Amino acid sequence: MADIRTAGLRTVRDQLGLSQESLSRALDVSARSVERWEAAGGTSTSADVARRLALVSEIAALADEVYGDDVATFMATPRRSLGQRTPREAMTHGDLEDVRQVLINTLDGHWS
Amino acid sequence: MSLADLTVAWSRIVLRHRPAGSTRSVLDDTHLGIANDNRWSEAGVRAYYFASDVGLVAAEHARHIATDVLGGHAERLERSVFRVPISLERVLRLTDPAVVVAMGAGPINTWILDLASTQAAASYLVSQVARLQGLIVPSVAFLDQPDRFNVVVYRDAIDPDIVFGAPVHEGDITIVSSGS
Repeated sequence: MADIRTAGLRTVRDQLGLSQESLSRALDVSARSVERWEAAGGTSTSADVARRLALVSEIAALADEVYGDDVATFMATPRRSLGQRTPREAMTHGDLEDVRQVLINTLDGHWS
Repeated sequence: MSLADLTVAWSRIVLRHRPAGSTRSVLDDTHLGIANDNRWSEAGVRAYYFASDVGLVAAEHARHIATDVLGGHAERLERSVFRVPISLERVLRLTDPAVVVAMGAGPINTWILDLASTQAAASYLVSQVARLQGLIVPSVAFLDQPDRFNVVVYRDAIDPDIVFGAPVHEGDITIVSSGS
């Protein structure tokens, strides 16, 4: 088990335009857990969920850095590198690493 | 001639870009080696990429976005472009056909569009030439214009404090690209 802080979880979720239901699927937990964590500010959970939470936070930070005010457009734009899914859809299916990779590929610029 | 004989010292001011408003330096190396779609470095190889001119910066970035984003969708990115003086002691110029011949490869235009081939070629060159710091490579966005090029600098082969001068903000650009 790992102790995690979830005080900023609502902000991260809003930034990525995810519902509690979508975020719960991304984290592979119940929507009730997300609701509880957002209210509590901290919890104890499995190492895997803690890792997924950290990834979601990193994705939010990277999306903000790369897309600024256009994060919503990024999250709703389907990409071949995500199997023709949007980042929101990929995250909802738990493919957080793939979304992180798209953002990192864009961060330092694409080079042919 | 051997590949080592064809290495040269090379200095120039080149361009690199970051998201506009980013608080990190354009030479920040936190995420180098994580991208998996860079043409001259496999994932895991930390490499800085630079462009010879701002048109190339925009064209290469837009080309990738257009390939990735599905048709009917578009993406808009604000990027800050920086001029960076670089001074390298050992580079190979793949813009020179003699270097490509010394690799034992066919004409570069016959394989440069294949990502696996270019990444493998780069790995081969790094393994064959001791202390190779970088490559001067054609831009696939301008294969018909050999005076426009990219510079690839291998982070683990250099001391950034010696190789790079202070970056200077050149300006901001907006790249709008539609999916194809």
